[in-house]
Amino acid sequence: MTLVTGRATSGPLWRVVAVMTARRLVAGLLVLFAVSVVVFVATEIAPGDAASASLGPDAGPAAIEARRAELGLDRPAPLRYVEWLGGLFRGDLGVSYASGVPVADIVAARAGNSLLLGGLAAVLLLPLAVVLGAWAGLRAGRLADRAVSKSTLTLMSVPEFVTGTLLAVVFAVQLGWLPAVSFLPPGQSPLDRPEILVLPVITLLTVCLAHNTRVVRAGVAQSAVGEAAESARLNGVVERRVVWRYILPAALPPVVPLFARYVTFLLGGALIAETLFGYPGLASALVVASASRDVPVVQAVGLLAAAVTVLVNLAGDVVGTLLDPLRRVPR
Amino acid sequence: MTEGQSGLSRRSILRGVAGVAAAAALPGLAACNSGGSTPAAAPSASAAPKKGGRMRAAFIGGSNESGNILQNTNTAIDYVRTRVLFDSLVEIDTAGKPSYVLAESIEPNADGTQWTVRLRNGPRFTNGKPVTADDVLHTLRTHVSNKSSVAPLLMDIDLANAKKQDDRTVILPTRRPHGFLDLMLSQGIFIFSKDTTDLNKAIGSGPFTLAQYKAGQGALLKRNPDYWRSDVGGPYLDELELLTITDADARMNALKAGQIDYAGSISLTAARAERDNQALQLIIPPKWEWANFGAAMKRNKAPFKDPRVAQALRLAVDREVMVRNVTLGFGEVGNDLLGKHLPYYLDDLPQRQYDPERAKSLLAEAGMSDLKLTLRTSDYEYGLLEGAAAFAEHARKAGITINLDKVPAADFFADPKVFVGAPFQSANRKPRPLPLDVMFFYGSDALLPFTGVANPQVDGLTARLRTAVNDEQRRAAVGDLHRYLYEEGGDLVWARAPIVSAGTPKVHNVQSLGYPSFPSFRDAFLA
Repeated sequence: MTLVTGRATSGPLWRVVAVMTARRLVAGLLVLFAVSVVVFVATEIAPGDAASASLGPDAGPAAIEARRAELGLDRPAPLRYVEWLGGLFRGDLGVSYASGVPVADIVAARAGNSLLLGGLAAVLLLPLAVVLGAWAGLRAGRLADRAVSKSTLTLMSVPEFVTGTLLAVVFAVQLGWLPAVSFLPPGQSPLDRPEILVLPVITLLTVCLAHNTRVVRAGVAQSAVGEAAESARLNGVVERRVVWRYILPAALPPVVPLFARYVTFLLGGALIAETLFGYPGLASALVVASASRDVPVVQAVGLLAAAVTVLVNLAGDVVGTLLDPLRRVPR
Repeated sequence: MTEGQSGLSRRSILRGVAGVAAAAALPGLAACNSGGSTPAAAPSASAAPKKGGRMRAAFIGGSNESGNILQNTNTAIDYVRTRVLFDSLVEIDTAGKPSYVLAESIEPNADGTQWTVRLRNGPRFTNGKPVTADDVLHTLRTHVSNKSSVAPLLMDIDLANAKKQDDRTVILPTRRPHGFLDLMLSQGIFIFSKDTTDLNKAIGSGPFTLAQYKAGQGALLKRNPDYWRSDVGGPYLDELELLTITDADARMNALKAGQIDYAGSISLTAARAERDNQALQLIIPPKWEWANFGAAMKRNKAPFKDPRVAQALRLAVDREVMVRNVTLGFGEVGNDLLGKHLPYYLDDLPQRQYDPERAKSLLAEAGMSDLKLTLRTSDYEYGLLEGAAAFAEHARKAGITINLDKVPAADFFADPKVFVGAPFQSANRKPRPLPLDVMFFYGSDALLPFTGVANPQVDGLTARLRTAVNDEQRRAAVGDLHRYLYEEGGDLVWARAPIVSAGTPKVHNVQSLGYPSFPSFRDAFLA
């Protein structure tokens, strides 16, 4: 039996992970609260409100005042915030100021779309980055390595909207193989037309792949000539086993937090890809909601994005801890 | 409503300016002054109407779309959908004149204190019931009691005392004399059945019915087989699919890739780029619907209080260059008045010319030789920031320094106190039928006094216009007001430019009928 000490960071692995998860979840709730306050204050400071935004420039002050009263925007800001928070605890996200549709309906559909697009990109990102990075890292300095490094560097330096536009022009407008714009006819989900996901996913991958590949490559190249690998080789371990047993386990853990960051980016809605391809996801909803000062929608999307960030980073740290070879040494 | 187009970067402005020589000559487009579509390249003569098919059309929309009949102006796609699911009493035709739809006549008494709407015999809602006086009153009252975005238009109607005379006749008394309620009723007021219980599923009488709808994505509409109207020909299409694509470049890509047949509101830069594309047609609205690009000076604030300063600024803009560089050759020069090409517009005033020397001497006379101004502007639509930058350039020759205060797109119209109160700002006015605009912009009780033009004289002129019930009175009253504003107004209109849409060559008869950003597909067909 292991001696339980007061330090949370030591002890059996499950305990370390459990304590870390609990602490981070509590901290995460505080982060969410802080985010909701910041978002609310920011929307208060921005010029205009949902009344002036929804009626447009032709409405005139009297109509705007009337709409403001109708939406309850004439009441003090702290009161509105507390009411919104109360609704949140009851599981009620409120109603969109702009469209009158329940916020949950707007956000749920789009969150599903974003999850599908970002999730697909994320699922493809990790194996691609590891394979490419390891392949290049094990051939450090050779032609293959230089080719991977050069091409990833090139991809990294091309802005997303250029990549996306080029892809659309070549594969949609010129070749006609794929849709140029990923809109969804009413009544359909992206799963009904998976072809609309191809170009946005490739665009997202080109943005994220480069950085991840380069970090994997650097770790692999370093641990390939590290002490553990060298002594394994001297002990006659075959190279393939050296790679799987010594090089990759040492190279991968530092990549996990980076990968987690990219996953949150992908899931939180990739604005450029959504705009470029007209894909109905969270990010474009957030832009429209901000412009129309639709505070309930902005709040919901902001909180969801913050929650995803907290959870994915937590998952990344858990995985990183589990993968850390030092942690797996029995004490 | 405002409409976002992809903001242009500085670089693309410069590119636009550099490439202007090529665009200067656009014979086909410049010549097309009214109605219908202009092929980008191959002239396809207007085909004979053909029944059937599905047309796919994309417009600006987003998560702020609403299916509520009272919020049909939220986004362009909302308005387009509403236009074919419902009918209005009256609409504006290609010449800018009222044209009756559900109404058989809309007429005032001699002094505009009471209007009589006579309904046609025949229009039916999709629930089979006829469109009656009760439905009209119900619609107007619902708009007002719900404070919808068109409610301000109806404020002069005394709805409490409005009544139905018989099933087909509505009597609308006014709170004060009103000379053009017929035009007013054409502005986004669609009649729905009094049996409507859910405003998100209002019952209409339009040429199409809603088969599927998802806010933020689009709608599938089917031809209303029992459509009551037979005098216009439409509806021809079996199905109309409306799709939300908010980014202008994405709409264009979708059109070029064959995913859609019609792309609403493309940018002028895209229009120029596709001018010679045989696979597309550019659709140019009638000239009266072109947007008025310019600026508004607050004439009751310094330094614009001084008429010499206002006049100097009018002379400090090179309108020809604006047409070439900012409208990319698609537009025409403006003459500082709203309503060009509309009935009653005063055409006999001389065209203002660029005269920096005269501007300079006027400023010297006013003791303001070193005039420095700040122009509030934004890139919420193509042409504003570009025009403001060009204006600053032109004005420099007259010794005027104009600094640009670039406001983020979402903030430009956000606070009415700021955008109505700004002393000097960019403007891009979408025309309304002529006498209507007057009551919004000029006089002591103007809803949106952008130019601060208000004094007993102008109040007298607007009062006369407000009560002008017939053609002759309207013409005289608009003429007098225009003559006054030409000298004493605060509007700078340096160029007018179309809101261009694009379609495949098979697309025919998509009509703007007053609203080029959200046209009517009632009579559209594929051939």
